[in-house]
Amino acid sequence: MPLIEFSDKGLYCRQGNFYIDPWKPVEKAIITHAHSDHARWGSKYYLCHHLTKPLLQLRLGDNVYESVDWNEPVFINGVKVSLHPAGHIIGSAQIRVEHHGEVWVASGDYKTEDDGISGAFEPVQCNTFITESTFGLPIYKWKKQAAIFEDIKNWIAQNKNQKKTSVLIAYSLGKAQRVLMLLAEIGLPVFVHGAVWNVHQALLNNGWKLPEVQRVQPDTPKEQLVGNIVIAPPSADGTPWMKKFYPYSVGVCSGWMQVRGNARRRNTDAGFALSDHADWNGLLEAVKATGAQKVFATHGFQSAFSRFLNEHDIEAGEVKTAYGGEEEESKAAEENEELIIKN
Amino acid sequence: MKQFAKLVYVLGTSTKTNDKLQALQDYFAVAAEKDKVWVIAIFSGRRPKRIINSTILKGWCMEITGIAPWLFDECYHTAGDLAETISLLLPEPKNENSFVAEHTLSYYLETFIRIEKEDELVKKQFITNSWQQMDRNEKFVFNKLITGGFRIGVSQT
Repeated sequence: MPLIEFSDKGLYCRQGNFYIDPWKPVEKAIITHAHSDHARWGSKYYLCHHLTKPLLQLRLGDNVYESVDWNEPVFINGVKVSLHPAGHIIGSAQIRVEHHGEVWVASGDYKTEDDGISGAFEPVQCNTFITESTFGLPIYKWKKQAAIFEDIKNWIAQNKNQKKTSVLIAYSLGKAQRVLMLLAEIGLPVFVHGAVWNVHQALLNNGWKLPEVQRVQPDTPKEQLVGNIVIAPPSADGTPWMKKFYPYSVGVCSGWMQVRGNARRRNTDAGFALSDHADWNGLLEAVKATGAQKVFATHGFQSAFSRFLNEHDIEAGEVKTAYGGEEEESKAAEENEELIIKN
Repeated sequence: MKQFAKLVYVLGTSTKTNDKLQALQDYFAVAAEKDKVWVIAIFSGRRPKRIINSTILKGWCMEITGIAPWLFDECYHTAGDLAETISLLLPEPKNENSFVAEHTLSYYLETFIRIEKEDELVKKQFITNSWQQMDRNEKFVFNKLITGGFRIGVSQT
């Protein structure tokens, strides 16, 4: 019996009787991070990192939460569980599961470049590694964050010259804060969409020091916006909400912008391949660093990535999971937040 | 070449006519005289003959990167464009900050014409050397010039 099974509710540890990132309600859920495709409603108990807890409260409301520090072991029915930084977003963790000397690690989502806010990815030795593979093709090789930021800065300066507002599209949780940290040094006022504002407030309330932002309000005067910066989630892109910023230029911050066709189809003015997922080389480095004898690739290009690993003497299989729908999910998550905040 | 690559990027990804016009204006304001003439020629469908076919080009890319044919095909399937796939797979110049002599668009096009009838080996040397000196965007337009796949939305009328 494998230590972790791939069930129709999520990754399941029978010995410990718990799930990792279940997509259906269960008794006991261990959550890698607070994105809505990994952290879902309805479970009776949630275990996560200290930094993730307020974000789960924001997105899922009141539930039974328990939180732990990095590498602080918890024993569940004799199974040793610990969380290790995944570098994806604030609080994101890989889950290490050990029983009778056998170690499995479920990566959740991760990236190997330290972005300065999400924690530095920590390779964890294991026998079996369950890895994401969102960008598991060699065409996905990211530029360094600093280089991408130069591109973003130049774009903003050019927009300002043309008296346009720069609207940056970034997930409200994770990417928005990462981008905000980078934007702070430019010194222009930054306005945010309500969804970004909610996450921002939740983080401030939990002791985070973040650059100052202003929420876009129906009565925000247009003169205050011209030439400045707005951060908005993908769900706001192309909606009437954007009209307020006219004339504006839209820049999408997403790994998918690596490919021109995607930038064109998104109808965006600028695409920045700034991702919170590991690129091809990052995935390979991460897999090698675990020393795992067996790898399972999930959500993404799992078929190509596992085939490549098999051809390079690392036994790998592909697993279908319900993760990877961040973009589609984000709107639902934001609506939940509105609901929770109103109540 | 960098300027031309930037122009092609905007023309290829933007959906706003004004942005495209602005990009053309910006380009023609700064480009070398000879390059301007070439750009007009290329955009009106008159470009040098294709000097190598795309299968060979793909082969050189696989040789440099060590990528297996099936994986190359997966990438091509995802990017949807051969010139782009190759530009994304090839390594970036070793040191991005080091000074690399930048060639003009005319230099590349005139070399294409000069080596058109030469051996494949001469062409390979020129193309693979050029790849080493260019960033991703430049490699993309360079490959586009080779494969002849330019379909840029500029009306001739």
